[in-house]
Amino acid sequence: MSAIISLTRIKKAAYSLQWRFIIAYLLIIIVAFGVVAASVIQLVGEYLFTQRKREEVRAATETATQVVSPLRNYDIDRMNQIVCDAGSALDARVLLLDENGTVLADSEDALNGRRLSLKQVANVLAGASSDYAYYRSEALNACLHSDRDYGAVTGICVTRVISGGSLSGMVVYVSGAQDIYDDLVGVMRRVGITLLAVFIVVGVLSVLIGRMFTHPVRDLSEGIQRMTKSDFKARVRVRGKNEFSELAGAFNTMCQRMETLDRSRNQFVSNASHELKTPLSTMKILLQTLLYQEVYDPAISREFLTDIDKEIDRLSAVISDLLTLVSVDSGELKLKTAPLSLRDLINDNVRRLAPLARERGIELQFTGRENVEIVGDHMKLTQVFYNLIDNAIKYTPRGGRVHVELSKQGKTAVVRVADNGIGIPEEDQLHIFDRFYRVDKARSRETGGTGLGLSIVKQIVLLHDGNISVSSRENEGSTFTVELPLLQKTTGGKAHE
Amino acid sequence: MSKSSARMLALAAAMALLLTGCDGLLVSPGDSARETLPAPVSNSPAAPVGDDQMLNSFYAWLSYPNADGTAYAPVSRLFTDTSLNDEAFAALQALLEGGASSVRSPAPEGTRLVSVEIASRIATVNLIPGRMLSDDEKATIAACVSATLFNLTELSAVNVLLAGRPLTLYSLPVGALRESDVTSISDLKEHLQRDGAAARSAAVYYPDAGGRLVVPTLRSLSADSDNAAGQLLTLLASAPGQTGLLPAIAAREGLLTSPCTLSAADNNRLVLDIPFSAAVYDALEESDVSRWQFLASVVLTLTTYIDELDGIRISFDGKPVKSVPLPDGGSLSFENNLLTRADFSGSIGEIAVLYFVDENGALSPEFRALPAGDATSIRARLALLMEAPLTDGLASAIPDGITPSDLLGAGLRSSTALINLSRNVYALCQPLTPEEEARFVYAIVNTLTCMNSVNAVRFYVEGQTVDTLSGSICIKNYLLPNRGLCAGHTLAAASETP
Repeated sequence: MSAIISLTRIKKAAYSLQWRFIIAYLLIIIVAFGVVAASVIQLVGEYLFTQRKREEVRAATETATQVVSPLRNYDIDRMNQIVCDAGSALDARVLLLDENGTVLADSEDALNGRRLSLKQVANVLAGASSDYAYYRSEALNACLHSDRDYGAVTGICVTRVISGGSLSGMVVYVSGAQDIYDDLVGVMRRVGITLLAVFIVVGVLSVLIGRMFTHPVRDLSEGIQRMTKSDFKARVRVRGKNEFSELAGAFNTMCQRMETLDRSRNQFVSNASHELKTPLSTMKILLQTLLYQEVYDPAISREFLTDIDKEIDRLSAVISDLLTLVSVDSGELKLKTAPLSLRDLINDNVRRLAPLARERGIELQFTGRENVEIVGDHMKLTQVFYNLIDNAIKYTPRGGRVHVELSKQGKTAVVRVADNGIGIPEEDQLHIFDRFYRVDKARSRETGGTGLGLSIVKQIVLLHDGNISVSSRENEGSTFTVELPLLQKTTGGKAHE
Repeated sequence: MSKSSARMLALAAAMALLLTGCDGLLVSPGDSARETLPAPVSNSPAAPVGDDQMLNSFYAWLSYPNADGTAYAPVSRLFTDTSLNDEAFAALQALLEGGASSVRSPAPEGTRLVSVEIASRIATVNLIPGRMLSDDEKATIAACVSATLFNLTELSAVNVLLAGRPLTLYSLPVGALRESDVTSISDLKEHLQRDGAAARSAAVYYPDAGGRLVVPTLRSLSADSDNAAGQLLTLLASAPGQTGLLPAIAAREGLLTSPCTLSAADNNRLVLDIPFSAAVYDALEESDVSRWQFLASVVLTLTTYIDELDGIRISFDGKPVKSVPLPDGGSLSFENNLLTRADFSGSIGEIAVLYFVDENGALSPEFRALPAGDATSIRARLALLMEAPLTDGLASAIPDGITPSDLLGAGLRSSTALINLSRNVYALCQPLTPEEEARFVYAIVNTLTCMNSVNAVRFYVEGQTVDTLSGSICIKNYLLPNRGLCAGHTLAAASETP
């Protein structure tokens, strides 16, 4: 089980962004370092071998100069002395050959009289001034009848002896090159150790840097997970000033909005529940009273039933408004748009509400000289202006005045509904279009409002690409301004359905 | 396998290749150095057929006296087809004859060169002057003759005899002249006239271990001693300082019954009387030297040094020596009991170095006296190499079946000995191992290059050069001595002279 778990964790770790980041860093460093190290080692190796070759060629050439005279005079003792001294100086074996490659003098006294059948000797016989090569020691020792320990690698240098303009002999230097290999192996070992140290340091740094990059992502992931569990209070820590901090900030903003929306939704559900529950409760009480009255009183029954009827109407209105808002929110509400005369529409609404205004002793006036044509849904716009004018009448005391004005401003039709009623407190003006928001709950209830009217008005205006605003002063009155785009007769404006 | 895993795997493999490939970044040593060389070429002279008397052409610097007789006026002269044995004689003959008008002979007209004897790098020149000579004239002759011989060949010293008598100049014996004594004529005169305990060099003749010859070696003694004979006899009884030679007699007190005396004999000959006591017999037996060799050592030594000595009368325990048995079974008689240089001059020899194989397979030298004539003979030395050595533990490096008749010819060209061998030698050498072949070749080369005039050796088979005898040692070209094959060798050359 633990093995399976470990395997799972390993697989998970293998796919994690942090480990991929770490591995990527390590690979980049290793590849770069490896290429540089290989180049350095190659250069160092070439330099060391070249230096050794130059040194031995120089020594062999010097020896070749020294043996010219004794070679000409057949002075074997002088030749022996020269080759032994030369060999001692460089810890090498030195041989002197005649013009046929036959050994005349050998610092190891082993090959006198024998022809030295080596490639380098053949090359010098063929005309080269000198030749140098490296061989595995056992291969060269076999040719030289030697068991001297040169290490694993031996270098051989052959240079010619010239006397009277012609080849009179050759000088052969044989020396171990193992020290060069040992030096290079040492360099490689140091490079390897350095690589290992770099690997470890880079590994640690890449882990730290990886965490720098993955921590914000992890925090964001955790935040999202909390949000999926409906914890809209989740916030992500904003670190630094980079893309991750921007993402964290945007996430926090989103959470803030969702929290607000959630709160609004909860508030809305609460309000809606309350608005729905209130008339039901009232109806319940009235019905229970009727059910449990001991003496049937038709007057009281009629009154209670009338109240119940009103509550039912209220309930129906609330539900209708809710359904309207729901359809607007969900985008299901389809406007049946067509060119219409805004003046005529408003005029109709004014006429419909004139009796109510007279009843309340309020002067209702409409000013609209121009024929303003817009594209809109007649029924919905009727609801808008009916609501606005109705509210103005409701919230204006007897003897007050409600003035509706229609005008054009550029490409916009402007409708103002102004009253000199009780006004709206400044702190409530921002929320006047919120759902179920009532400035004075008690008064709204008396006037039969659901608290959804202005919300519906605003949604309908917005659907018409318009705008609605309010300006008000308490006890002085309020002015609601609706702006709607005019009908564009010349361009091929689409007709909203 | 997912794509990313495949990529990672490929990358790891590439890394592994890169890192392991570092090993291949080093210079790769080769595995085989062998290559067949082109056939050897040889600029050999024609092979000798028979002994060509070792005719040689050479240049000699003849040291004539200058106008005021204080220094030399050297003249170079070419001598062609001259036998090696006659080089010195020919050069001195030319010196005495005089040269161009600008140079004159160091000797008066009528001076005759009798002989030039060179043994162990000591030359003895016998002249008969045309007239009586002053000391200065004698000194001039001695200087010019010596300087000419020193320029000609490697010598340790030169003895000049006039009519067979050692030189005495300025009342002192001259002895053997070294090269440093004759840097100029005036230097020699100054050296000979120097007062005080002047040192002289003398050729002291020691018996060889073979019992057949006496070999001269250079020794120092005081010039102003009245007892030159006593000094020389003492030297004869001392160790010779050279391998192959013996003291002439065991050193003992009382060998002489009385001091040696000089007296005039018939015909104005100066004679030295040496009275040996009876102890001389035991001393001779102890030294393992024959009486003949002893007498030869004494006579040659004293007659080469003591001024104007003509002969010696020797007595053993009061009995005059009248004759002496010879090594070959004959006998040598002395007229009027007078022993002269001429009686023993034929027994003068020279130490030759012959290389044989010891028990370890190394070449070991044997020092053997050779007659003066044979000392310059390549054939004589090779014949000795073919014989068994005299020293225990040594063996000949020459394969059995090779005889002196297999030496078809021997010669000398520009200090290179030429050896022409028969096909029989080639055939007998075929089965030799590389070591045996090396010993055979270098026993000959090392032996011959010990001769003064030989520095290298060339081999021929039936008159032609061959690459090898049995595959190892290349004899196509000249060969130089191989010290490495010698037992206990050092870088210093083996030398025949002290």
